[in-house]
Amino acid sequence: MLTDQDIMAQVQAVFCEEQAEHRRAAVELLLELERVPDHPQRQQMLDHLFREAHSLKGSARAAQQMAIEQLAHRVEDVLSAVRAGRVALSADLCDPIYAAMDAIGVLVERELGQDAANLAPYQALLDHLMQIVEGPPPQLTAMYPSNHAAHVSMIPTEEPVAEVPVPASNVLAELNGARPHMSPAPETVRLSTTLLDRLLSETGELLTCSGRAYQRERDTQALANVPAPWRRTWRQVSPVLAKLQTAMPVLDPTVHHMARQSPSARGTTSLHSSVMPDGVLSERAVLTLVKALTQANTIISDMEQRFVQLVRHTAEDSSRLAAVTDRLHDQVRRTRMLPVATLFSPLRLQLRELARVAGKQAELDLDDGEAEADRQVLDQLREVLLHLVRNALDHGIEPPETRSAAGKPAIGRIALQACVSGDHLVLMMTDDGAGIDLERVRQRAVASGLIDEASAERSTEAELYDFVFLPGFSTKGAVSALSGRGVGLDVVRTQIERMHGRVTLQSISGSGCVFTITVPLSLTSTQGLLLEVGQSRYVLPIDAVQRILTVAPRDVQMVEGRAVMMLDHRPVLLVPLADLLAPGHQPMPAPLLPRGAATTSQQLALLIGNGDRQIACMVGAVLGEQSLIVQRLPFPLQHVRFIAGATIMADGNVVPILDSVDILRAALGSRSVGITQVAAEAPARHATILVADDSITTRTLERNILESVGYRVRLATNGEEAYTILQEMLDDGGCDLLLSDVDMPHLNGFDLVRRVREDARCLHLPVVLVTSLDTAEDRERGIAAGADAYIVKRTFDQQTLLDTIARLV
Amino acid sequence: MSLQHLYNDPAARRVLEERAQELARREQQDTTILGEEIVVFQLGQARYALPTSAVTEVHPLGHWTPLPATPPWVIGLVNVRGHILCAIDIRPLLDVPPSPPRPQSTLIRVNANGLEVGIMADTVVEVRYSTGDITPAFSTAQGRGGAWVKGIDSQLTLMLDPAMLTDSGLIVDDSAATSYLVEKEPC
Repeated sequence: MLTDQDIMAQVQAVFCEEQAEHRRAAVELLLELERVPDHPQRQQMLDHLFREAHSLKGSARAAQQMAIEQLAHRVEDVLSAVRAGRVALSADLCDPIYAAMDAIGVLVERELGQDAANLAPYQALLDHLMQIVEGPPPQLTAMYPSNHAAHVSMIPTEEPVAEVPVPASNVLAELNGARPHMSPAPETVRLSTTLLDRLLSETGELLTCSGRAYQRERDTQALANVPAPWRRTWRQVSPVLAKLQTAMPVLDPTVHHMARQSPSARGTTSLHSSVMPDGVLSERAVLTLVKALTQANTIISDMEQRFVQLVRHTAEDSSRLAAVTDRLHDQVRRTRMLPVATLFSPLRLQLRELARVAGKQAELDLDDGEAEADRQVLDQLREVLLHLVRNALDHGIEPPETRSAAGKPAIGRIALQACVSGDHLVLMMTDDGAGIDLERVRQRAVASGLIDEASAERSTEAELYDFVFLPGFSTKGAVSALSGRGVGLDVVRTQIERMHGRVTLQSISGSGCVFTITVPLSLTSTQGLLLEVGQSRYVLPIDAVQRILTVAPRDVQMVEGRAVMMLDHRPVLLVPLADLLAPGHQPMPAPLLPRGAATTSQQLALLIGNGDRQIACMVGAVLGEQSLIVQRLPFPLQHVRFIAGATIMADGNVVPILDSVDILRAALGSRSVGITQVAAEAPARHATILVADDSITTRTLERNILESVGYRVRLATNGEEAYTILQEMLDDGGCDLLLSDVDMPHLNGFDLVRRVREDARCLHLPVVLVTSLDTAEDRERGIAAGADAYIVKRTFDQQTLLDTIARLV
Repeated sequence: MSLQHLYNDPAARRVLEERAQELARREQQDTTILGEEIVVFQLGQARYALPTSAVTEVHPLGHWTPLPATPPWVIGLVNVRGHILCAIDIRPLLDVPPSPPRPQSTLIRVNANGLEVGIMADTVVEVRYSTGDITPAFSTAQGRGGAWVKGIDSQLTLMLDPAMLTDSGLIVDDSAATSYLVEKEPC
């Protein structure tokens, strides 16, 4: 039976969720009213706002949250006065309302379940709210800025709930009559996110099972092939046996006679006793053997047939299991998807507060593109976005006077756009502020000893922007109250890289910056390379791998006691992964040289990192590609150096997933390698390449290779799709090169090239075919179809690819 | 005499209730004398014990995956029917030198307040009731083992406290080391 306490606990849990919605809706409405003072639907919005405050008050009372009720009550009074036209809705009036909403959030967070919540810290706020309605006009606008500022960061810490209907962000849209398709609201349920998490981890387990079932299928297949040699033996032996069987009756009398002479053989079929003294088999023994062999053959044939059937059934079951599991996993993953809008909307209020403190004016344009991403992804992006908004306001947007002097609108503009590209979420944050002064970055880099002056002069824009992401690198002289507390954009980059994403920066000095963040939509499953390092196996997510290199001893040079190889005319640090991961490892990698000058064997290395923070990790072997279910490390392992998580292989063993960020940090320290040489000839930058390949690994690797040298890349998974995307690209900016696999579903490489050449616009489009087919005939077929180059996939030989492309573009 | 009849008689009912309470009390006393049920296991030279209420299951250690850059008491990761569990050797935590796991080692799955680890043992010796006569162990005085060892019983079994799992000192978090690197960087 439920006790009163249980019931109260349930009421409070419901209240917890409900109040968050009311608050969010109220804040959103208020922001909109403040932004557009003469909103056409002003009156409805005020009514709506009042209702939100009223409901908040009511539910707080039901949950016996008297402090919250009081706050809500005062807010309601103020809004009622505004609605009646007795008080004007000004910024001074909005501030205490926002503050009250935040205060409620803090109270819920801290005090829920306690009977007497402490209202004392909010007495000033309560008084202020009361004064607005009753007493003298508010004379102090900044009565509780410290209070409020402290709460800003606490806004997103509501009880995590998967919000299926997204009430808050739809408030305005509904008012405006937008999204008519939403009107018959689809039925929704509220579920605890822990339930969804558990569901996902169970499906993850199911995926592992399905992988194992596939392994069983192959085992059965192998088993079914076991009798094959017997089949051949039998084919040779059976005519002999048949002959023996028919020939026997002729020999029979003699054998019988002799058998009768041997009393021990009488009445027994024992082969033992059928052996003649001179070692020759008796006739009866031969017949018995023939019979046994025939019987064995019958059994084996029978078994073979059953095996074939078993293989067929196992294959059917395993593929059905795999299909259902994949679909299930996909759907469970989707239940964890939240609209990106939920990530965006709190930013408005946060920016408002930040701008107020900084004495600047800025507006936030949000376009969520109706994108959705996994809750975990959004959670991890929250801080990143806040950091970037703060950064844009602090370093980007100039004070109003400076802006007016520069002929810009006094109010700064920060735009945040989201869209989904394949299985990645792309966020673009643009500001129209001062942008980044590359000259100052250059000076700062030299002053901090990151590069010498000569290389600084030669550095490209991209290389200079890269410095901005280094720890402790800031071009702003003074540390401000907002950002720049010793932590810079490196935090952003580290976080994004941990999510296997990337962040880039473009800027035009004087007119603003664009940050582009690309992260996977979901972090729970990924593709990885299975590696052998020393005695152990590890997985490295494929997104982290830029290239796979083969390193011959002659490629290795020693620079300042560290092994280095030249890659695209720049030195890259070579790090034996086994040494790095070995226990007792020192932060500086031990000098590596091929042990024994005579060794000519090549070693595999994986290029990880971006820009000048790149290293080549030497590994024992690449065992294959693997699709992984990423699991967090179990308790009590919160964060283990070099390890981002773990996954269960089809054989049931656990394999750790490597953290490329930690590896880079350990190998390079937290600064960039001293660049002694900078690429003299840069490859054609910004050329756009369309890559078509049906293997995700090849696709990802090719993209990484091409992007790492500055190309822009579009991806297609088959010929048909490639053709469609190519048409799009031709209509929009064009395509500089097509890189296509030959073996693809729907439309193969040869046919794709042929079709592309039929388009007049593509007559001169360079086309490179990449294939594992290596015959003169195929080569000719490729050239006949109209390809400009034909590259044979040798294991991970990527320099040829880059050279060929550089020649054609 | 029917039970209903007894119930209806106030005097008889009082006697029954008193008896029932007496019985209930005795049950409680018995368990305090006998102590709780414990799983006793051998690890190296010593015997340790955990309350059965904290032990979810016991099975062969099987395959484990060692992790780089972890404290010596972390043996590695183990797959227990699709759940990844951290296998630990409690000895370094008690300042006893560890020894590498052997293929025939046993894993005791321990759960305290929803937090789970696998504790390695050479063998599980027995499941019995604690004798209840626990005296403070030597290592208890040494601070570090304090949270771990409740005491030692008359059979020289070290009684472990599953609440140790909730001790924050157990959590392996290397991100502190990483942020140190960031802080150290000259600006």
